[in-house]
Amino acid sequence: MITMNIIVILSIIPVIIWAFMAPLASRFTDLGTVTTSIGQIFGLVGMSLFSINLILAGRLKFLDKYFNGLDKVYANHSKIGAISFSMLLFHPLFLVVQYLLTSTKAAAMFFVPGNDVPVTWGIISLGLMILLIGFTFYIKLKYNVWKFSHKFMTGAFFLAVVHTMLISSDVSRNIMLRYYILLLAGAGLFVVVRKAYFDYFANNKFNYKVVNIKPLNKDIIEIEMEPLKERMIFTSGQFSFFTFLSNGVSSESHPFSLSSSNNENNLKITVKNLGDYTGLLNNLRPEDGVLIDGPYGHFSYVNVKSKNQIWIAGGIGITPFFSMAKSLANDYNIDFYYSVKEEGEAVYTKELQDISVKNPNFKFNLWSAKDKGYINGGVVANLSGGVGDKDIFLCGPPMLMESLKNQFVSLGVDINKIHYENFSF
Amino acid sequence: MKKLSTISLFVFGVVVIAILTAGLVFYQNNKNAPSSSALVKNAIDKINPNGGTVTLDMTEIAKHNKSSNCWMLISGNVYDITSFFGSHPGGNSVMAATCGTDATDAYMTKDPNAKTTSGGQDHSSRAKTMLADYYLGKLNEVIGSTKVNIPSSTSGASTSSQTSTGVPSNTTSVKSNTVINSNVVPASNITLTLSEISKHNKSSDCFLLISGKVYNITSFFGSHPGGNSVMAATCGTDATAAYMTKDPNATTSGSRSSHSSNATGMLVSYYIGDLNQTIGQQKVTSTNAVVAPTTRGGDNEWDD
Repeated sequence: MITMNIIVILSIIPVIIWAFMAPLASRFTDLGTVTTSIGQIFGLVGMSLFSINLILAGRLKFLDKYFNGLDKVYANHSKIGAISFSMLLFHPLFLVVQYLLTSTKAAAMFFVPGNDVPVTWGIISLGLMILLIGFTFYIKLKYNVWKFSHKFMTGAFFLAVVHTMLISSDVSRNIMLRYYILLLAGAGLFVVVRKAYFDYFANNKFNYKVVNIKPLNKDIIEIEMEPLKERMIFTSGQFSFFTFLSNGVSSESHPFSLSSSNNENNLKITVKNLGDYTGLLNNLRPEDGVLIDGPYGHFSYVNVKSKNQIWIAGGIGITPFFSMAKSLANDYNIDFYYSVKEEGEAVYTKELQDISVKNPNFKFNLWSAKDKGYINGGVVANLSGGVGDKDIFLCGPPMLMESLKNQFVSLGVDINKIHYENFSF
Repeated sequence: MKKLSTISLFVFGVVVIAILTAGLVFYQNNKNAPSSSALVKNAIDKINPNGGTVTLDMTEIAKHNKSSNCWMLISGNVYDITSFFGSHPGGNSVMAATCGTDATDAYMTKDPNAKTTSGGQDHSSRAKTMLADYYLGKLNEVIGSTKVNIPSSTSGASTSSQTSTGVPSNTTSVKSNTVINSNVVPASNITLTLSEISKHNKSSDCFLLISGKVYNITSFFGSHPGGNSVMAATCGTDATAAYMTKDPNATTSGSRSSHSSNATGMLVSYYIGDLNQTIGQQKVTSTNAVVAPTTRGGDNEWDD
């Protein structure tokens, strides 16, 4: 993917500048210099990736476009974050080798804060990163608490920049390297500050109010919202970030697929109570304010060339498909499979059947795992008369999507023709 | 990706804990090693006609001028950094270039060709801590030749040796106990009054008073960039104004340019005492003998 190539190039550039600063032979003469050089490279690449990751976290519209959906941006943010974090962890480990060759004490002092100001900034930064990564991967915090904690990554990043700029290194000796690192870091910080500005001081979001909360079954509610000023224009299948201004609901924003279509004046989301924030949405009352940041996402039947498509929804993954079905033009041939554990779990079945009656090219199959077993690629291929040239859209639990994706690939479907939404952010 | 983070964190944790533990144990062992003052006392004890001694003067330092046997002078202290080769973050070659020389400027600027201590970048305090591991003694100090062979693993000890043995930490304590020179003359004290200074008024025996400090610059004749005559004109006098203006006839320090910090650094080598201070006669007769430590690189920096 071209965007990933750009990220790789951006993080390799400092290494190239570094490589031309001194004869490479002098950087790799013996164990001490080799490990030091690797440590420096890890530091440079780690910092570049960290800077890029701040940009990825900024919910930028152009990234949504180039990554084929903001969900992919966040998936990459998570991946790049882990790589950057690991490189920054190994950065001091490689650098300490030269001290180990001299004395164990000198090596130990290297890790003790307070001996050297620039190093101390680095130690504090890395300590903060370890703590925050711990919250991300190992200690399960409530989403809103985690989200708040994760903002401190910017603080860790800032300290890391201070460390990079203060420490006497190739960054301090080469003006080009210095400005490159500063520029990338500056871009990252700018994006974060920009987002914070819009989140806390200025409103660049759509203002809506809740007009109706309708339970669809024991777990699922539909929230209907009406625009107060400007209406958000979107493509069916997209999602947005919702901030509910209500006493009973925490104030951080959450992404939801839109279950209404662009033809409707009011916006709807359909939410399953998973016992966390989604449960709090039951506390919403009509007239509660809503801030909507969107639309984002590239998951829509209109974004692919083929008009012969297979849609597969798993559970609450129905929402983007319901939106798409309502706006579907007649010239599309759609086989839609709605997989649920049991029929009682399914929502909007009547509406979907109505659409399939009106539009014979839209075939609706309700798939109850209790009656028919789990849906799989082979069954779908049989029922749809082959999958060869069709675009396949998947939305549902990650496990289901992953296994379906693999099954279709093994059936010979081009991976680029399988489209899915990453709901795990 | 969680897996990658987990593995990295695990490796990081293990390595950091291992190094910190090892470093700490090492430090503890160090405390149990012969105390620092004992080590130096040991070295000083060896200064007798029978035991081999080495005078850490420039001639001796200059002999150790290759990476396989490398001494250098940094801020008046002599170091044997031979065993540090291979570990220098800045590489071996820059270090090798200064073997056997006064590397103060090079060390302060990280530039082997530097001629002043300004510009460039000083080494970190961590580097200074490491440097202490290689300390041999003060310039012109006489040490037991066995001490020269003391491996650098006695590092921590010699690090603190400076403070504990009372190496002068400021210019007024010159009369302290470090053995200065091997040609010790039976002591008889003189007081550095103006009348005493005025006795040393010729180029073959030249005292100067500059800013309240008395210098015996006799051995500097022949080395003054400004020539001998301007210097000779001020022998036996208060040369403060002359020094400040580079004009032997100046009566105020107002006009013209003063000597460089480099020159001031050199002047320190000729310091024998403060005005009206009573000092041992041998200080006066031994030329270029006393090295008053410069304020830079004071003892506190060596503490850890």
